[in-house]
Amino acid sequence: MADLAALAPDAPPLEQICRGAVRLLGVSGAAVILMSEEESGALTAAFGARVADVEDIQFAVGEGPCLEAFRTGAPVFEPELVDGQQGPWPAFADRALAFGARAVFVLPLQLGAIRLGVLYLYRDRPGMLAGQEVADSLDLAELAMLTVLESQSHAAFGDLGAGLGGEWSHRAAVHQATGLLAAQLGTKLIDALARIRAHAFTEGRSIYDVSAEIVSGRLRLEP
Amino acid sequence: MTARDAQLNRTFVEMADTLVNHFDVAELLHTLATRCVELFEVDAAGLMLADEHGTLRVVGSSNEQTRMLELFEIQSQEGPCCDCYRGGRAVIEDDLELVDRWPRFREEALGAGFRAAMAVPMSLRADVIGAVNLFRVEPGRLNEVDLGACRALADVATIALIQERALREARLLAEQLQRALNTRVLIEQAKGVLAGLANVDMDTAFKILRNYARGENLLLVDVARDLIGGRLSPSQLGRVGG
Repeated sequence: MADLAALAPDAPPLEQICRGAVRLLGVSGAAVILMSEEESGALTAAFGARVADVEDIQFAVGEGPCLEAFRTGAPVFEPELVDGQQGPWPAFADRALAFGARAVFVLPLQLGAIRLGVLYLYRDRPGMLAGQEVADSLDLAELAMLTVLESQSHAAFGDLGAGLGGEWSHRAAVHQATGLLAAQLGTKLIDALARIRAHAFTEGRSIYDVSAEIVSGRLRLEP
Repeated sequence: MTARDAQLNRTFVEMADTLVNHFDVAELLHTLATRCVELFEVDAAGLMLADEHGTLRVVGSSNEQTRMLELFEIQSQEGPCCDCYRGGRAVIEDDLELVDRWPRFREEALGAGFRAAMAVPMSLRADVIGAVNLFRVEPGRLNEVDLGACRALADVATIALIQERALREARLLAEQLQRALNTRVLIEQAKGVLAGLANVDMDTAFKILRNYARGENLLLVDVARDLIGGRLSPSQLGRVGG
């Protein structure tokens, strides 16, 4: 495997892994996404064009290869995204295609039964990873997992390790709106989040804008 | 292949199995001590591992008599295990009656009926984690072949132990990280729930949650979880500053 540090000596370790993935595997973008049981995850490190957008879609629509890999603990290789209702994640695929993703490959980051997130890769042309690339992608996911644990090993109890927080603050409003709506409607959190996602989807708006309006009281969703 | 060679091979397989399967450390160490007595011309065997302060502790013995355990205990200060751990090399004493080193250990060992004592390092490259301790009732030592076999067994056990330690640490870190990731989502959701139930804004909701957690000496995340789960009501949380 190439010397990853040589690619960007000053970049944080997880970004180096993403850079290494782009170079080694010939993908268009790579991201390390740490995920919790409660949400689709937050981008922790990324490299490559539009990778943040493609990842964000999954949070907005609540489906996609990252969630599937996280839930099942198995890699997800989708060499050709198709639009319409034929694929496994139609809402994700429609938008990901619009952003230029044609193939997605997701490797879970896990230690035994403990799942922490995924290494997400996408490519702007269809086609499966070659045999050696599959093996390399698994190695990179392993390396990402070790790097994440190394960062966490310096954290105070209850805190996230340095550099593991990710771009998350914009998501806080979605979780607040979820709680608020659940209280107002007397539903479960998961149903409230689904309601917010559905509203954003049908109105063709961003889940972040819709959430901000719910939090500020400008928007009130009816049961 | 002699019966003894076959037995030695079986022991290696037994040790190697622990590398791939989940295993019980205490069980592995006990097995290693027991096999040493079965395989080699020794009458008792024990294992000592260094704790986080570098002090040797007995962790497995072929013989659980108090007297035996005391013999190990002394070696946190002096004796073949102590020297073996510090030097990283095997330490062999053919006849304890003829030496004057380790006065306390020597007296204790002779009193327990042992004439010879040996210690073989448990090491992986430069990393020494402990020692295998062997005792004989008769004076004398293991021949070179047996000493080599004993060293090899100690090496395999060391790899298993180091691997298990690393895995345990990694698992702990992974759990902490997972908890921290879940925590931040739960707290934001709880702010939203409280804002909805008590008709306050997000900042006020956060202050109420935090003040309650501090006042009750609870973790914020536990208060958040109880509120979300309906085990805490807004009226129980009180008001900011109230």
